[in-house]
Order: sequence, then C-alpha cells, then structure tokens
Amino acid sequence: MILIRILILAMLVLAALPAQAALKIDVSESTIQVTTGFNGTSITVFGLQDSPGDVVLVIEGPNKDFTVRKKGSTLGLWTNVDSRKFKDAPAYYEVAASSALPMITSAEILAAHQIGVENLSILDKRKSNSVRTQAFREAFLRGQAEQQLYVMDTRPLDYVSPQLFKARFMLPAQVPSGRYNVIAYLFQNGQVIQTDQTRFDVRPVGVSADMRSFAQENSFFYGLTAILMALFAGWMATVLLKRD
Amino acid sequence: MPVYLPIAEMSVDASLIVFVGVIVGFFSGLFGVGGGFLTTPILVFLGIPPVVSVATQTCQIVASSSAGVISQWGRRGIDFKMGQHILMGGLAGMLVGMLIFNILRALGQIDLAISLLYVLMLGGIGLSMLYEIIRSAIIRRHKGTISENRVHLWLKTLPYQTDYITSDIRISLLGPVGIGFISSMMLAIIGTGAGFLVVPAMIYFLRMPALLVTGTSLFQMLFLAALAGVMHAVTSHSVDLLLAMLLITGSVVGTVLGLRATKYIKGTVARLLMAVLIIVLALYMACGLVIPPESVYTTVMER
Repeated sequence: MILIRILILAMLVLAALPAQAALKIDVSESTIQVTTGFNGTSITVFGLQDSPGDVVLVIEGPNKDFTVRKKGSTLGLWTNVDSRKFKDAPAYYEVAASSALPMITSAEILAAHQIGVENLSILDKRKSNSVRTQAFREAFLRGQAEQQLYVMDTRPLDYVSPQLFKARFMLPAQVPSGRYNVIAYLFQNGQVIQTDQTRFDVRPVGVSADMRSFAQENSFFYGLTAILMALFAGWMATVLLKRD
Repeated sequence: MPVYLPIAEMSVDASLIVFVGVIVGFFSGLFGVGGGFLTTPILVFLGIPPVVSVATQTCQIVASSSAGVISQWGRRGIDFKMGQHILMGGLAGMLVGMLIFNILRALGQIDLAISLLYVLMLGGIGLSMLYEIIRSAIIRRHKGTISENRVHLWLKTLPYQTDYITSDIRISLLGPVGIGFISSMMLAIIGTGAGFLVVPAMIYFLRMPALLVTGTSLFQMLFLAALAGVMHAVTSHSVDLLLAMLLITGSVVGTVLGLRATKYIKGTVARLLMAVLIIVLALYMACGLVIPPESVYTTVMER
C-alpha cells in the first residue's frame, strides 16, 4: 500500500514539474505616496523565470470613466457637437517586454490578452464599433498618450541574469490615485505558459490625503473652512494696507 | 516650485498660481470686481479642470472682496441698503440661473450657451462702457452737462420709489433688485458676472456716486461668492483648498496694490482700463469660438 502511494506521489510530482514553469514578479514599492511635493516617480518591477522564454509585463492603472467630446463648426462657431463615454478604461497603461511584441507572439494572442494599447478594449455604452466611435477611441488614446498616461512604445526588460529581469516604469505627476495591477506573461513558442500578477497603490498621504477626505466626508465644513480662510486673508490684506 | 493639488489631482508651479492671484487681485482692488471672469479662463488655460477652477475661484473672490469691503467700510464707501437690495435680487437670480443651467445642460447646449453668453456679455459691456466714457468726455468738453440716462429716468417712474440716503438718490427698489437678479443669474449660468455686470449698472443706470460703487459691489459679491463656494464644496466636492491658498496669497498682495492704485488712477482712467480689459477678453473668447481648434477632441476623466 505504502509503496503504491509513494509511486503515485512521485508520478504526480514528475508530471507537474516540467509543465509548471515558474514565473514570479514583485514591485519595488507596494504604495506610492502622493505628497504635496509629488511630481511623478518611478517604480521598478522585478521578476524571476526558471525556464527560458519571453516575458511581457503590463501595468494597468485604476479603471475610470472618460468622456471624449468633439468640437464641430455650427454657424461658424466651434462648439462641442458630439461625445462618447468610455466606461472602465484603465487610466494608466504601459507594457514592457523582453523583445519586440511581434517577435514574441501573434497579433491574435496579443489581442486575446489585451496586450498593447491598440488591443485594450475601450468601449462606449453601446459597445459600438462604428467608424465614428472608432475616431473617438483613437482620439482618447492620443490624448492619454500625450499626457504620458498611456505609453505607446514597449519598454525593454533588463536582464540581470538569464533568470532575473527588471523594468523601471516612470509614472508622471498626473497619475490618478488608485490600484495599479502588474501582470506578467511568460511566452514559449508564441504561447502563454505561465502568468503572475501583483499590484501597487498610488495613494495621497499627509496633508494632501487629509484635504481629500475632508472635502469628501465633511463637505459643508470643508467649504466653510475655505471661505473662512479667504475671509481671514482678506482681513490680513487690510492690515497690511493700514501698516504703511 | 511644483506643488501637488489634492482635488485637481495634478502638479502645478506654485509661484505661477501666486502670480495669477496677484494680477487678478490687482484688477479686483482697482475696479471693484471679483475677478472671476479673469481667474477661470486663466486657470483652465493652465490645465486645471474647469469644475475645480470655477469652484475654487470663489474663495479668491471672497478674499479680495472682503479686503475691499473692510477697507471701504472704514471710508464709508458702502451703501448697505443698496447692497442688501441687490443681494435680495441676487439670491432669487441665482436660483433661476441654476434652473436655466440645468435645462440647457439637459438640452446638450450648455457649452455653446456659456461661450456665446460670455462673448456677448463681455463684448457688450466693454463696448458700451467705452462708448459712455468717450461720450461723457466729449459732452464735458463741449456743453459741460451730462444728459440723463434713459434707463435711469425709467427707474424714476417705476413703483416702490425708495430713498437711498447714503447714495443720495431716489429710485425704484426694482432697479437694484433687478440688477442683482440679472447679474446673479449670469453668475449661476456662466460662473461670472456678479461684479462686472453690477459695477457698470450702478454707474450708468443707478447713477450712484463713484465713491460708493466699488464698496457696494464688493459687499454684495462677498455674500454671493461665499454662498457659491460652500455650495460648490457640498455639491461637486471640487474646491481645492491648496489651489485656493495659493491664489489667495497672491490675491491679497494684488488687492492691496490695486486698492492703493485707486488713489493714483482717476475713476475715468480705471474705467477705461477695465473696458479695454473686458474687450480684450471678449475678443480672446470669440477667437476660441471662431478659429478652428488644433484638436477637435477633448478628453475628460470622470470621478
């Protein structure tokens, strides 16, 4: 009996080992603190792969709703004439990879895993794919890219050793606060054979955070504080005026 | 020095915002207007979300108008009765304005309405001020007397004739109430107008003494801006305290400079400057309406 058990266990281990290539990632900081002096920062993602293959890292910011408006000329005046609302689109998006994405796998597989800005599913309410909505979508991607919130170019991975890799991402000052997901894919022969996931938070701290929670939770007193502060400043001005 | 604004969720150069405050405060002290018609376009131009700009500039208006009120109070430069009557009309106007704002928003035409009203109002007021200044200068040179304004004569025939002892005028109560109503309605719809609509109206329609115009205008504006500020904080949570502090710091300095400048700059010259400033701003806004934009698409992140 015991012999049979050991045999089964050994078979299971042997079966599991070669297929389960290991991939593990982590981030340099689990929380990015947004202080009053915050002016953008960098975060390093590092990871370990125990078998050869290409690695792709994706950083995805918190999901937000975006409204894209289009200006048009009516009677010679340029005003907003049309708009689309894109729901649950990532506020930040960037990809790093060990080599160029087309060299790693096919366009279909990239699309299936939503790897690359062009493969993100950014949908309006009606999930429309008309030419018009497509133009709004492209304008949205352009706008995010201009703000450095979507990074169009794939960042290269640095290999410290054949197993150990890292990538440094630059987050601009305007990164929205919230939860950011980091997803790693290990590719072999164009197929995903292993994934791993981690996350970090971008969170206001200190005075910045206090002000936000004050504004949200005690909005009436927050407004009153702002007005009283303004009144005090106005009074200060008259004191300054009298002095000379 | 970059500073991260907690509500606007972005980093700005602190000294730049303080400088904006100084400029706006200077004009505010000099002309007796709140300066919202200057602050909002400048802040939006600097990339601060429009909602945050509109909500936060109310604090700056409170700061500069309270400074003006306190200093004018000492000089007996406020007609409190007139101010209260304008304010009464103003509260009603604010409610009606908000109603119109929501109707226009439901119709999807709010942007066009705001831009058009802005240009028409600024342009109209600027040009008519300029016209009045030139006309009175010519009349003074040739005849020596200023002809009565038609609206002013009309106000003398309406019911509820009231004595405004401080201003030494007797006109219908409907005059100040109506002025307050219209200016606050505009304030609710396009976010500005409490000062630069009221000041010319007091000068040309009510014929108030020039010395009382600034103080009385600031007096009613102080209350409207304080109310608007608290309302913005409660309804949209978009007052940015840090942005307000920076603006106010600059505006305190600017207001002091502006109030001092009133001693050296004659009333007519100050009015001429204001007329020119308003016309330039109207032209700038008009250009934005007529000139094809660089990019026809704009993206806004919802909360």
